[in-house]
Amino acid sequence: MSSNNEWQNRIRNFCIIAHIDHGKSTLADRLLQKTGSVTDREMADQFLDQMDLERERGITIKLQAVRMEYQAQDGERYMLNLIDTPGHVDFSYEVSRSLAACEGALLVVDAAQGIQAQTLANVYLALEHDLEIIPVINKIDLPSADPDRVKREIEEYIGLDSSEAIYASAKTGEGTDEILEAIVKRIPAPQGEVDKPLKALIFDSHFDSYKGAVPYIRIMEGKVQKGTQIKMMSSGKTFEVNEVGIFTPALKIVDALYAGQVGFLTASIKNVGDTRVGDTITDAKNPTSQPLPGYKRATPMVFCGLYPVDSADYEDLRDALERLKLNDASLTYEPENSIALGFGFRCGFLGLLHMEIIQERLEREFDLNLITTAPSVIYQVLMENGEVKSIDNPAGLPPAGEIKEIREPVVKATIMVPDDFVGPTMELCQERRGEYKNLEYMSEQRVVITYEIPLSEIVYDFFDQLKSRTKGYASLDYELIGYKASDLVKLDILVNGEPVDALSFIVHRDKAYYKGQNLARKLKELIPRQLFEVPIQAAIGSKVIARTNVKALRKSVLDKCYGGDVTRKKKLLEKQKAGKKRMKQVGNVEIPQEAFMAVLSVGDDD
Amino acid sequence: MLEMMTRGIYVHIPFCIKKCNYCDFVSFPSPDKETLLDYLQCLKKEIKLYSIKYYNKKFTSVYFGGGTPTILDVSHLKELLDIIKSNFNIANSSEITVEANPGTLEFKKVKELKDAGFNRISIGVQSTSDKFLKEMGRVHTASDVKESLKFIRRAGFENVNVDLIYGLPAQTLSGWLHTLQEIVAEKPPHIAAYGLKIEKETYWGRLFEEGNLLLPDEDEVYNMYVEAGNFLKKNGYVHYEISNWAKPGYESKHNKVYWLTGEYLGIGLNAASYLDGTRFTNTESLKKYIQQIKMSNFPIRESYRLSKEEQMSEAMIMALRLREGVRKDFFKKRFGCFPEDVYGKQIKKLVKLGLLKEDLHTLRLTEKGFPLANIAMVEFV
Repeated sequence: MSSNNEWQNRIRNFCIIAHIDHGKSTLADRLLQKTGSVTDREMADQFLDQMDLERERGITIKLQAVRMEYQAQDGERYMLNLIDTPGHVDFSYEVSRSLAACEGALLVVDAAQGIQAQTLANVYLALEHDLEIIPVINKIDLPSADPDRVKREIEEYIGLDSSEAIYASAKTGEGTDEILEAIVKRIPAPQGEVDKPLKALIFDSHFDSYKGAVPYIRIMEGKVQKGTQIKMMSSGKTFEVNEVGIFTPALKIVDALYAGQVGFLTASIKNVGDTRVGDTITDAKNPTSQPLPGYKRATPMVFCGLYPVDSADYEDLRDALERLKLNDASLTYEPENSIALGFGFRCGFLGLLHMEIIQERLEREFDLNLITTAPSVIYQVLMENGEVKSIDNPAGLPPAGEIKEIREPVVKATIMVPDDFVGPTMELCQERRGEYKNLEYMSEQRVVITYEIPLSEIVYDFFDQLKSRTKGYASLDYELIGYKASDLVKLDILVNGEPVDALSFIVHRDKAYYKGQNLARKLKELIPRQLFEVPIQAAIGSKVIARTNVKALRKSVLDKCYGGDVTRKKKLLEKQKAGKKRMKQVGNVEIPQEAFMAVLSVGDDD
Repeated sequence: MLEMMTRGIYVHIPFCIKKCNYCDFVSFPSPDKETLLDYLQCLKKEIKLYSIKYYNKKFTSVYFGGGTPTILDVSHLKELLDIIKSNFNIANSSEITVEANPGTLEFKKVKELKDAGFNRISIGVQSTSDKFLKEMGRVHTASDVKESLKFIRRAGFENVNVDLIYGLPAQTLSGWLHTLQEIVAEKPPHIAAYGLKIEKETYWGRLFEEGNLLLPDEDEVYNMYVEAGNFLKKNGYVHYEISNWAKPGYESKHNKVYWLTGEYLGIGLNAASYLDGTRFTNTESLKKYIQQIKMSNFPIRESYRLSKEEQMSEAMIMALRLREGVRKDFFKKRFGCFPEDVYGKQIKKLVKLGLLKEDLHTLRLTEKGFPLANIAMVEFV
């Protein structure tokens, strides 16, 4: 055991584990208020979710950290560092790094809804990191709250001692004092010797246009201060520290950060790619021998093409992606070229939510009008000549004759659901080519179902389907477990006789016929009538498997137009013109943005 | 060259016996006598307010529209017309139109209208089927239609227009053609046929949104339009504007002012004017209109000066509604350049699509282009 300094004993580093909507942000706000870290006036509701988008969606995307000072009942003053975590499966790696920076966690569970799949996954992560877990049963003010049942679930299913679970309502403030006391009493103080060489864990970073990339760090051993030569252990790059500081929650400069503390540093780091989450920072002149365990590069799982509707916006799109990437090392993009859509980018994301967020930010913050192609996973293609290719764009799949085998990523999906919905849930997994693994009762009425499912099936609308078939009760978590050979084919869509590469997708042979028919039908609804009849075909190779027609437009006229309504009629024409601008001209045919995502909404039971 | 100098006056009478189920114009069910007289007083005053400004402009048409102008006594209409004639420079050969509903007419009244100085009458017939008329919320019947067309002629009106609507809920092509036959049998020299357009703020608009209005499909409506054209052509009518047909010499002079983007002065509630390159529109509120006029103010809610580009754009869009299309020499005279100098690319594209026909002197929509006019016009926005 290392000898703790007196002040170290009064530090507590913790995070909050909660399912979306179980009240994490509200609870965090309550803690900030109670400890006087933020005044009521400063408190825009839910302080830690800083992006508008987060507040609108009610989810935390980007981690934030904050330090609170708390006067405990034992008479001592404590320094509490709350490291917020995102509550979505796309970001599980980030969650694991945040957990590694803490000694304890509040497990917040909704008193009405009980444990959800993602919560469970995160609790297991926390247990792996030997965190002290304090169960908090939140929203006890709800009429439908059943805290005793939820307490049993925690006890029986997770195997946590919940005898000291705290009943709370972040909304009313009930239980806040108990939570603060429990943090002080039950979560251990950080260990780590100040005299050892620097070892700091990066758990997040942001980009500041003046100071460069700013890593958020937990000092595990040693100290860091202005002038320290630091080294990033994954890349070996070195930088000189300009300033170190803490989160109050506003960034505040301090003289030095010591083992056990949480804060940030600036060192004129130009690229967030150099401050990768999970990496270890050490002292370049006096380096530690071993980096902290668990670092991996966040790898994108889902890819899609992003194209400007107006090809003149290509450079703007590149700039916007570059700007977003400054703050998000897990986003990848590469120039790509589509016959139908022109110049754009193939972008990689951690998951579907990550993809939607980036898309929305591009459109909102950068005012770009975009076409997004349907998301794809990475396929491994074993060629006849023995070579293995990675394909992240269906259009790039080699001709069938050259392919020996196509392998697709498979995930282990954990679904929690009330037992009434076991039937529909298993049916859905079965339809999505899932392989049944396990079914277990978590409590009397709640079941955990485990399946192995191809990731591509999850990407296509799985979660929405799951929610709708279980009346919103199911929760889902998944992790990539490997690649599996599968009988996959590329389905091409021909519009007016021309293949539209951006509409191609890869599908299991057994579903190809049916998906092709549904997609053709869907496109017929989405593509507006043109001046000529437009045939839409779905084909595998040269074999057409579905065909339909968009009838020719024959009448589009404003019948009445006299003096009084010239202005009104002109507005209608202007509206029509604006509508045209949102279409992509592919050959002779104008195709609306939505059409390129249509394959997503082609369900299995249309 | 004559058309370049046409100029119109429009007078709006915003009252009806009752509002039709598809109508979203500014009109009200007949008000009390006092309001009505108030409104008439205001119209007269507004005419006088403008006469000082525009006396040096020569007008070639006057049009009383609504609403239903014939809801007023003929003496009132005559009074208004007389004031217009004595306050403005109205050409002797002017076309002077009054809109009317068959339900508000009788032989005696029509005769009085003729004597009052109106020389053209435009009848809102819409359909000759009692079923459709009832569903539309019209106040007249099919027999009113036939009867009124007969006594209008007897009263001495030669220049008569009949307004019709097609694409009505549950209407068929043959039903529509039957309506046309019945109308053509009465030989009005001018027919305007409009495709039904469902407007949001109407009774039918609400029904449509609730899914309770069954309209004929796009192709059926297209056939109604094309077949109407064929039938009317066979009966000697010339399809001179997107929705208007006339026997030679009976084209509406007043409406051509709009389509040729000529000047017009609008008097009354919500009336629009276009004079000296500025478009201005009166208030939609009856109360405000009366208040403003009483204070000798112009009751204008919106005024907008068109740039040269906007004027050219409108000149193209509006003139393409006419069979004769855009006359290149007129355009050049007005704007100093030929249409192809400004819209060369668009013209080329539309010609290639078969929507537009270009020759030495004109640009015109083709037969295919007429029902697809929007597609062509969008290019000039």
